[in-house]
Amino acid sequence: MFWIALGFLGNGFAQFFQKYLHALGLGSYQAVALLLMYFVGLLFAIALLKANRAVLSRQSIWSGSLTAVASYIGNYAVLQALGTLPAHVVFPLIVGGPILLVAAWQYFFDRLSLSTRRIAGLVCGLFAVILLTTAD
Amino acid sequence: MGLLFCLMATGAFTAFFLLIDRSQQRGVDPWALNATTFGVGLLVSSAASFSSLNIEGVPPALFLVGSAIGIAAGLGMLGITFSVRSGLPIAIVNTAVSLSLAVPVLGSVILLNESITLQSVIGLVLAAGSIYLLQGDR
Repeated sequence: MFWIALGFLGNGFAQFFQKYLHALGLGSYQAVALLLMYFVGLLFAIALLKANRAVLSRQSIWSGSLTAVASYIGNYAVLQALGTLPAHVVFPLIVGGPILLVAAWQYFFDRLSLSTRRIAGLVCGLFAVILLTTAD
Repeated sequence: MGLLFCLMATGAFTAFFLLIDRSQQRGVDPWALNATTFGVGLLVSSAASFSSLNIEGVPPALFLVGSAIGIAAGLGMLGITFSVRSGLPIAIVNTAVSLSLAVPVLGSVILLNESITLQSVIGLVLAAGSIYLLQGDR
């Protein structure tokens, strides 16, 4: 429960600070902000790596590289999509889409059991995402 | 063209979550995964924006907010990775983390004194209901 709360709050506050950047009138510095985000995130990650006496392995470098490239391609595509489509079309698709696709992947390939409660939670979450991303 | 980019983003974010899931099935250390992801992310974004980057006259506030985004994103990534490592299915983790959209909505109301619409309130109630349903079914 602690880790999922951390994932929820960490991602939530990252989005809030991005919004705060625009509220401060610094929205035109997106590229510098993105570099700073990766740079400070890396320093923070190295500090945690050292503190926990963890070491980089070939497998972690391989997995981390693929994860980083997927994240970068996703963010690049979002910026490009926002150039031609309104945000209320882009965000429900790019946030709601992965919820459905990951659940479908786990159901078909990882044999994830979908109880009535889980299905209700996923559907509820999907509608919440649509409402929150299309609200003015 | 815009829809094509939306599909590309959807595919990339789906791959992002599935890759984290696979890495934890293979026992990759979460601290090392986090460090590598941010390291490679820095390299890729530097290479992509190097020619157009202009850091002259960057306001000091940007350094503070940019750093806060980096630390929050790092904690978020660790939360996702350790949740999967603890045995939660990535489909559940992904849904719960996607609902973090509620944080900027609430933060804007509390800290930036923005008004909230009925649609956002219903969205927040559904988000809370979704988290309740998902976290109670492991």
